[in-house]
Amino acid sequence: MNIESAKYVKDEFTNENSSITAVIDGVTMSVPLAGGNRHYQEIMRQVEAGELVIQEAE
Amino acid sequence: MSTLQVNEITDTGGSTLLGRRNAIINGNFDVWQRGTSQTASGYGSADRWGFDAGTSTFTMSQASFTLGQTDVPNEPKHYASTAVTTGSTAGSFALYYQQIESVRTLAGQTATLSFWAKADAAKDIAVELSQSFGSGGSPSAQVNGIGVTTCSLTTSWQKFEVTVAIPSISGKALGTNSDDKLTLLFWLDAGSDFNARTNSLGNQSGTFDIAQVQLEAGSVATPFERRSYGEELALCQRYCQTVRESAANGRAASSNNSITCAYFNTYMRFTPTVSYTTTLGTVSAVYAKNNMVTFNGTSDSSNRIAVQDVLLDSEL
Repeated sequence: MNIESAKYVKDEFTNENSSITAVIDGVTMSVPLAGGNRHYQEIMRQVEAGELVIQEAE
Repeated sequence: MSTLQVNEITDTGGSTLLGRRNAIINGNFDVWQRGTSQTASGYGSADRWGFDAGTSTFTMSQASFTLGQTDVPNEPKHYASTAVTTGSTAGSFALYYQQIESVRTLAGQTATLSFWAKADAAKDIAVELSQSFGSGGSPSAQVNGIGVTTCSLTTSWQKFEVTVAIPSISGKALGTNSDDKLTLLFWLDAGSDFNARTNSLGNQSGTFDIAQVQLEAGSVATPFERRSYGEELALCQRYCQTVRESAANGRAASSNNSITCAYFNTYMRFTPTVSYTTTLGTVSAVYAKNNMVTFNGTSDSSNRIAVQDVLLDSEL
């Protein structure tokens, strides 16, 4: 799984991070902040390994 | 009162001839929501079947049986055809797999894998099962190398049957993410790093064709369980759903924040990843649940917002 970029998206009502917009294998995806989701697992694995930084939401 | 007379019950070695025998989904390769071929690891072609390769390359494609052929019984429509070019190193490999939800599946039981296969020349492949206890928290370690068996393919279709003792999960601990699983792997190419998991299969290139995969309880392979396309698609949609054309359309009172959403018939296994194409307006946030997805954004000059080609992925 090649993750080119990742950026948090905030919920407009709560202003909390609600998902991650990531470019994975060349496709833009909305990844939920959910431990059972395989894309989220891989994003967090790469973050912990120092291979990826998730940009803060705008 | 009517009575039901049972004339004959064949010994099936502990399995049952009643429905839902096959733990594999899309074992008949009927459903291809994502596409009909793939060259990248992960999911990209036949539903529920993933592919993985390291330094080796592959193309996995949908192939079709000729009408009326009798090599593989019951008129299957498709099979998976995979062309592999090995990387020829100890760490090179090419395999495809199906991750079966829940490590409880067939745990502590005798199970039988059956499938039809051929290759472009006489070649071996290896099959393996593994038990994963999931992620999050402190799950037990994954158990690999279950029932590793070499199958010798020829250029003609043959049916293979592999009976496996699947370990008990007594005393094991599950992770907290509800992603534990039993995985079936077909190793097509495996360098020496994987000898223990492949009976020393070795590096090889070639084309490998596989059809009608079934994994069931018991020590005997029963006839392949046929399910209708609609039934199989519904099973697949727990893990992947696609809407290729107009998926969700909304109209706002003014050119401002708009919301449009799409509901899906089948509850997905877990909150899915969503990919999509915006055709009208601009999507700024996506909120996914197990059975719906909402697109928030800004409508276009005609107060419209629309998305299409939505793909929801909840694979393990």
